[in-house]
Amino acid sequence: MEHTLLWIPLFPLFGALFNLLLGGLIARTFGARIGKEVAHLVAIGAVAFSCFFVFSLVLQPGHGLGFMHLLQTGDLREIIPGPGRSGHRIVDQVYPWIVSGDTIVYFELLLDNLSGLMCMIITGVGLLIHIFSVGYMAKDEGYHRYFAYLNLFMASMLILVLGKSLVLTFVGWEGVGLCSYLLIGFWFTDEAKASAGRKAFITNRIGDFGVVLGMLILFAAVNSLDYDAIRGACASISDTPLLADETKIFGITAATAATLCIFIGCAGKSAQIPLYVWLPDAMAGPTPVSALIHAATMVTAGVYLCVRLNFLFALAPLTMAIIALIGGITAFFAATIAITQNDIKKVLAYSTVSQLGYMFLAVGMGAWASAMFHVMTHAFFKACLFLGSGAVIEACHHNQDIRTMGGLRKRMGVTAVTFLISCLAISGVPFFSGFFSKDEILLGAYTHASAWSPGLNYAGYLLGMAAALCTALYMFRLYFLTFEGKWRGDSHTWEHYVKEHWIMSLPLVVLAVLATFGGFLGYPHALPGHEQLPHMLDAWLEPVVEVSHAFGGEYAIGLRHQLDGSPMWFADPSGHHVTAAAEYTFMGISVAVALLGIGLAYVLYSRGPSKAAADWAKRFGPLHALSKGKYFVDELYQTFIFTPLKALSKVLWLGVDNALINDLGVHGVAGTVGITGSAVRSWHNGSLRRYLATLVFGFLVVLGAVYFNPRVSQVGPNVLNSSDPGGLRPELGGVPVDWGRFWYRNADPPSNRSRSQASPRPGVVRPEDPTRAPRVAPGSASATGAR
Amino acid sequence: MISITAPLYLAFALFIIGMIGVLVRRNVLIMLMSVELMLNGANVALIAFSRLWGNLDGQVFAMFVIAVAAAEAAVGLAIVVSLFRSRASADVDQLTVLRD
Repeated sequence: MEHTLLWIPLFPLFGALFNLLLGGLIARTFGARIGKEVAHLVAIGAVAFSCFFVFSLVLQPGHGLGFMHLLQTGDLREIIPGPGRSGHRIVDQVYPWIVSGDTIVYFELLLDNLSGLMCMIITGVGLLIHIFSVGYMAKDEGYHRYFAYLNLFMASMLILVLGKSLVLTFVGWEGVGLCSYLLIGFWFTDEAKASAGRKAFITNRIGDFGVVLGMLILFAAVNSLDYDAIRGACASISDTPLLADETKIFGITAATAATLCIFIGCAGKSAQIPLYVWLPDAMAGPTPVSALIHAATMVTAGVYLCVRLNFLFALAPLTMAIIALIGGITAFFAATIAITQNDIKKVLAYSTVSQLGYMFLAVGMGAWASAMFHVMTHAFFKACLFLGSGAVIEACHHNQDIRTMGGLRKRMGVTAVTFLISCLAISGVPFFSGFFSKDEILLGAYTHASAWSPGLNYAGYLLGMAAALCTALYMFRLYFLTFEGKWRGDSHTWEHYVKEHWIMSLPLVVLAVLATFGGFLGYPHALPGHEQLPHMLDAWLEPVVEVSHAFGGEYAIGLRHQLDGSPMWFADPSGHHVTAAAEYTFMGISVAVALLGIGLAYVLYSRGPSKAAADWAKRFGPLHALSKGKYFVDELYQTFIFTPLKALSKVLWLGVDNALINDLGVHGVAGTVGITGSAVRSWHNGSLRRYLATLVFGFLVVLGAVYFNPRVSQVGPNVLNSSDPGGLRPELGGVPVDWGRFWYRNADPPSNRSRSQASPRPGVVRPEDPTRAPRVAPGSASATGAR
Repeated sequence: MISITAPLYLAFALFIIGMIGVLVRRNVLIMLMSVELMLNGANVALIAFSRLWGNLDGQVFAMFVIAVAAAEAAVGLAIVVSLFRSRASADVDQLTVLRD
């Protein structure tokens, strides 16, 4: 197989095409039951194939990436053993996609350690969610359409991750945005759900505009959008074009401008302030979609892009500071909103926004590996939480309000246990996955410093800690209200709840296991047993981030003791890592905060919404109202952006489109023609001789205009090349024409145009002279009638 | 040898006579004949220039014009005949049905 990597996105793409084109036909021909069987078998099979491909390529024993045999037979296009411990890359150059002058953009896929990690998450979690969907969507009308969209999303996401240039990544970027829109508005007959889809799409488009701008700035500076080319341009701080004076835009370096623009896109895609508003509304889609797109994969695309371009971001300390700040603020504010929401999916949505904030906090601090670590663990536990909430919603007859739930643990044991495990993981309880990744981010936030604003890391740390407290509180509030205490809904639902089905429980169990043990991929250095269990993810991602690490310390981001020049108490004198004592201290703080949040939730909500909880809400009246109203950001946008935009649109509609273009332009032209026509129609009297007279008169006018216009008459000799005899054939008795006399009425034409008059053309013999042979000079090629 | 001007004068005279005929006469048949005169004036000019240049293209072109003129005369006469049958007149001033 020649194009190894191409098959990874191609399988889901074929699945999508199959279900889109043939799904309805099969369902009509063979009945709905068989139609559904075929639809999900094709969809799951396609994802399973690409999942198998990814895992076999990445996890080949003994080698970081790539089939051992393919490596040796040279079937893979390009293998560069990186300087890192496992730095192999597989590049699949499919074909030259855009060729324009010197610029060639290849359709080129790249599987390296970073995209390999992402691909494993996407295909692995995606496969589980496909399987879950079989149970969740079983009774839905648009079954094959759903699986087609889901497969299309997988294909787009894999292209996004595998693309070797920003251009190809952007194709996937837009593709996942489209699929997100299609799946949020999956039940499009409901106006609210359809408009939620539009909101997501438009908000994402705003961000995508930033990405396009960033790409243009990058292209102007580097002249390529290939990741390797950008990486090469970033390799040395002293002579990179991205920091040069010539490429500055309004006094800002190209690196800063490009990264800021790209970050706008990341904020849109990954739901950061100020573009996060679409994600809570995106919960209108089917719950497995929320799990796949709006928790595990698509929303982490922004983080992926930042980490992919880490060398570029490391050149832009201002951007890094902004990213860290926005990430920290988003993490905290979204977490505070999640505390008071009553819709089970809304809580999880704001939790996702908050967790994405953590990832961007890590990105902004230059802790790339920590960001990817959290992407991974978050994919596990948040997908598990969403699927668990899907199971709960299914059991409760599509009721999503946690105030009318409770005690569901007795009804759905597997879901309750997996949900609890994921809650423990996201809250940061020791030895669950979230504990390791979140702790690493917070530790990184404290120990990394920003070159732009040295105190920023403390702010990031405090925001992260506060968010961690809120996270533990709202997650266990959710758990207690849903699964513990007494049932608060109507008795009919309680009696006739929908039982757990193995096809929905299986993905939950797998994800819960991953959420439990996934953290050991990033086992901290300080804990005992580190010798046997190293921090694998750091080593795994080192080849990807080594460029930015090489100069990150001195330029954008660095460990604080390196930046300040004075060793801090937590700095391990041996070099890179903080001391074990410091790590234990930070871990202790994290655990204490997590337990505090869980304890608070237990006191307030373990037996349903308690009186104490209501008292607390009353005590913090205004704050509670703010949080419950989601800080009224939607209303702010409505007032300050949407309403003025609507007014402006109305002005443009009535003023420009209606009055200017329609009335003045289109109708104006038509009206002018009509008026002129009715004015001159009396000429059109049907008299043939009148027409002929007009024709002759017009002909005479044109002739006169040509003959008497000096400018026109000058053109004649000019266009004639004096050495070109034209159609003249002296051998047949042709006479050369004196063009000077022909065109000019006065006898004395300008000297530069009368050369033919002054001297006969070479090789042309006048017919009056019979003594000379009437021959044409050789070399006068056109003499034999090139006319 | 005849200079270029003589045939050109002839061509000019033919063309102008034909043109005046087309403009002043009202009978369609006469107008058609005048058009033939104009075409032949053009033919004479073509042949004159052909001789001047020593290039046979002009004469070939004149042959084409004659062929096309014959076709045109056939079609035109047919139209005139059918016109006369339906209207019992060949006066162009009365043929104004296309006015509106």
